[in-house]
Amino acid sequence: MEEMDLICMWIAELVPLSATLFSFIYGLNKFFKKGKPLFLQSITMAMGCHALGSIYHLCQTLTAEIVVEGFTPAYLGRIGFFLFLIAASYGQMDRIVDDGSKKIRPTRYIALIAPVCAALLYLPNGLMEDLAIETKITVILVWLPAIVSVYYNLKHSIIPDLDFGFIKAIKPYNILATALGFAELLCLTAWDYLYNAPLVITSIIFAILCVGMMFAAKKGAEQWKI
Amino acid sequence: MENLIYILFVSVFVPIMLMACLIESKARQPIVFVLIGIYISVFAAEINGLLRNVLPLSTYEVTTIVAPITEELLKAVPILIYATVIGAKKEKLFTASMAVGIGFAVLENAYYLLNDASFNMFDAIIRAFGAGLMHGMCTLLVGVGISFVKKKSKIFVVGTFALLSTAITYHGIYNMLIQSKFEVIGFLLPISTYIPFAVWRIKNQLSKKNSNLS
Repeated sequence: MEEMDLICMWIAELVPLSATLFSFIYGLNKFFKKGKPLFLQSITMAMGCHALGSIYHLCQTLTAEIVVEGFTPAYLGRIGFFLFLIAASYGQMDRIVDDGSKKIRPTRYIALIAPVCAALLYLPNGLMEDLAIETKITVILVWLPAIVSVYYNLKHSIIPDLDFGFIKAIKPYNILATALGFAELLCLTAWDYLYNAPLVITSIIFAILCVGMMFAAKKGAEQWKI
Repeated sequence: MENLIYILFVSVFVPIMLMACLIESKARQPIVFVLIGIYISVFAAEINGLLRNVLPLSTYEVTTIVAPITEELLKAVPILIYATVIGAKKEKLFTASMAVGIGFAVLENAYYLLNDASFNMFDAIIRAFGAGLMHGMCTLLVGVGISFVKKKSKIFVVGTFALLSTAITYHGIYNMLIQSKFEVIGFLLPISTYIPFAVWRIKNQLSKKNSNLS
């Protein structure tokens, strides 16, 4: 492996890890207090889970004598990340913003764009010849919660603000969370292909969105309280 | 020695069980969960052994990929039952989950000790502070997390899976580091998680006490 490849791989390992670790510590510090909404704690846990997945992958790169194909707990870090985001958006926000009325039906349909795009993003992984079938199946396990997560985040980004201004306050968070979901999927695809430039770019974008999302969530929750 | 784990199980489980029958009910609860942890340890050893024979994986892969999954899933079962069927409160779940993890680690540590003739005091300390705490912390994470997610039925399943994913990944990192050249980092990992958590917990209890007094 060339020196340039190694540098890019290290950037792709360490930049998202630093961002998720920072976001996790920030969340522990700011969101795990009495009276704070559970959705803030969920997104903090999402960051922690992703950080653990990245640490596992890093340790594997540093210590493993063999390349493990297919499922590893590093993927569970990603799966847990999306599951915690779903817990935040579907579990806690959706019941507030979507009352099930017909008025919101168009929004629900438009929001389907996100899962369709996310599903299409799987194609480069699924069609890749060099990728082991075990890995392809494992990647599907990451894609499934990601598809659900981006649907709810996009839906909450475009849903009309009917009452209390909550949706407006939390909109920046939802936009960033949608973008973050796609950035993570692109990151995974770039890892499969090991193309230097996309790997570095998606990692940096992911890191920026991670930190931005935490700040947006904090700001949104504060505005909503006011 | 054949069936070593069963011999250990009987010699550890039975005296504690007999003691649990005699003590008052408040003190019995954590002991019962320690016993459950010990029982699960035997069960997990059997399942891991079975999977090692069935799956085409090396010992390294079994310890870093398969064992964290089976062990964390099995340890979570009694906690899930306690939280959902019995409807235990946060504080009780906290004690129960830590007790299951520690009970699990007790038998696992004893098994390693008897299986390895070169086991010395240093190894014992590593296992006690490392694996012992790691098992406790992983189950604690799931237990405390469940106490949050069980409040809302919509996030219960998703939240529980997410918590299990976190615990499995943490367990996998520990297992990987402890058998690599970075074993010191592996040894320090559970302690570095335990200390901030213990500080937070003590602070929390003190502030509760103070608010009750005032």
